[in-house]
Amino acid sequence: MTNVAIGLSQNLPNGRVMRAIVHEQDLVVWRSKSGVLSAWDNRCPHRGMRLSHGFVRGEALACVYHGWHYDKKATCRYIPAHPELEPPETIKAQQFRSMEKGGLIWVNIDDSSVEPSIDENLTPLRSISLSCPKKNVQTVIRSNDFSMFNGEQINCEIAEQNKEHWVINFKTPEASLHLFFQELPNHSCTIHTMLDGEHSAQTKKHMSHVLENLRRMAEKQYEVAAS
Amino acid sequence: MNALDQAKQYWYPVGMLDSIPTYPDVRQTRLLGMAINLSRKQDGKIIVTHKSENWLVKEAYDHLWTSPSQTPKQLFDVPEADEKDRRFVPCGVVRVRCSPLRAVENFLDIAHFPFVHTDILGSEPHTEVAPYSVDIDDDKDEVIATKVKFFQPQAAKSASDGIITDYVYRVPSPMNAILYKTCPSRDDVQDVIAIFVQPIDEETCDVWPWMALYDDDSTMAEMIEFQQLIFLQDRSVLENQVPTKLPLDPKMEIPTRADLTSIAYRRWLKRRGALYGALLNPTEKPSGASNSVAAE
Repeated sequence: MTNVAIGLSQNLPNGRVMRAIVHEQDLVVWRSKSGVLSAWDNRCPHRGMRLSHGFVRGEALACVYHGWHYDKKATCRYIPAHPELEPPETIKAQQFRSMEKGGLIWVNIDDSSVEPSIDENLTPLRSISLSCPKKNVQTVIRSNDFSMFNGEQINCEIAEQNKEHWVINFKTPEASLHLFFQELPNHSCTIHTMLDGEHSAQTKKHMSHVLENLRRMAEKQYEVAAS
Repeated sequence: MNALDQAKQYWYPVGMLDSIPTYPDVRQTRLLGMAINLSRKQDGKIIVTHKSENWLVKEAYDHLWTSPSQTPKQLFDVPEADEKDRRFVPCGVVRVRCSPLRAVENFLDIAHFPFVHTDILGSEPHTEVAPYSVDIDDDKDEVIATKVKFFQPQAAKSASDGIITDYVYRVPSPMNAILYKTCPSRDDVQDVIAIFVQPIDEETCDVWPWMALYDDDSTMAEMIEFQQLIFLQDRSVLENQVPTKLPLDPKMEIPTRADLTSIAYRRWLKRRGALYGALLNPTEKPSGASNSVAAE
C-alpha cells in the first residue's frame, strides 16, 4: 500500500477534526491550533469512542466522551476526571504517517516512508463523494459517453492512468483535471480533484459540473450493473 | 452455558403498561433476537407470544416484563416503587445501536457529564471525580456504587442552581441499573432513576428510562422531555463506540480510578457468564488497528 489522498489541505483548517477511511482503517485526521497534522486510529483507548467526534484544544485532541487529551504524538496528557494525575505514557492512540504535499493530505497506513509523487504546482478544485466503486468511475471516463456533457461534445483525453491518480486533458476550456481516488467501504469512493495551475472561476465551475455529471453516470452504471 | 441461554434466564422490559395495544391489535418487537407479539386481551390480561409459545408476563415499574424462560430468575426489587407520594414517570423508549451492556455501563458513568451533558449534568472546569466505593452485594448479587459525588449545573428539571449531587448506583441484573440521587427540592429523600434495557440483539437495544421522583412543580411532559434529552445525548456517544459490543478484557479499553463502577460491572458480568452483548476475546476487535497498550 502506498500513500492515499484523503482530502484537500484547504478543507481541514487549523483546529478542525475529520474522519477518513483508508483500506478499511478508520482514522481520525486533525489539525492542531498551530497547524500540526495528525492521523490516528479512530478510537480512544479509554472507552473505544471514535476520536473523530472529538475537539481540538490548542495542540491537543480531546475525546468527546470523557475529555481525555492526546498530544501530537498521540500520548494521553490529561484526564479531566483526575486533573492532578499525570497519565502513564503507555496510554496512546495508534498513530499513522500523514503528510501534506501538493495541496492534498496523504495518509500511509503501512508505515513505509515513500513520499507521494505529485506535481506541486496543482491547485485544489474539490473533493467529490460517489456511491459507487472506483472502477465504475474509471469505466465511465474511458467510455465515449463521458465526453458528452449537457448535450455538448467535450473535447478531452485521458493523459495519465496510474492506479490512484488519473489526469484528463480538456481542450475547451483548456485545463488538466487531476483525479486522486480514495476507495471506501460499502462500494463507494471519494475523488479529490486538482487543476494544473491557476484557472478562472468559470473554468472551475465548468469542471465541477463535469465532475457532477461523472458522478451521476458512474452511480447509474453501478446501479444498472448491480441490479 | 452459552451467552444466549444465560441471557434467557432474566425478565426483560418490552413496553410501557399504558401503551400495550388491545387485541386484535398487537405490538411487534424483538427480544434477544426473537420476534415477539404483545397484546392486551379484553379481560385486561396481557399476552406475549413468540411463534407458538406463550411467554410469562409480569407488570412492574410501569412496564411490561417478559422472559423466554418458564422459570426466570426473580425480578429485582425497587422498594421505592411502593412509596405512593413519589411521581412515577415512564419516559418512553430510545432505540440505540449498541450492545445493551454498553448502554448500562454508560448509565453508571459520571465522568462524561461535563462533556456529553454539558451545562446540565456537568460542566468544565468541574470535571474531577472524587474517590467513591464500589462493592458487590453478595446477598442480592448486585453491583453497588456509593459515596459518588459530582458537581451539577442543573441536576434535574426541578433544579435551578448548580449543586453537589450525591449518587448511589445499583446494578441488580446485567441489563438494568438504578440510581439514587440528591433530590433538588428536598433534603430528606432521594430521587430514583432507572434504565430498563430491552436487548433487541447483541448490538441493538431499546432503553426504557423510568423515574420515581419528588417533584411537585414540573409537568409530566417536562420531566419526560428532560430525560429524553439526556438519553439522546448519550446515544450520540453509544453509537460511536468501537467495538459495538462491550469488551471485558481490560487490555482492550484502559480504565482509570473514575471507572471503578465500570470495572466492577465488567468483572461481575464475566464472573457470572453474562456474555450476551459482550466480547471476551481481544482478537475479536473489528477495527484493523489495535492498541498495543496494556492497562496499568
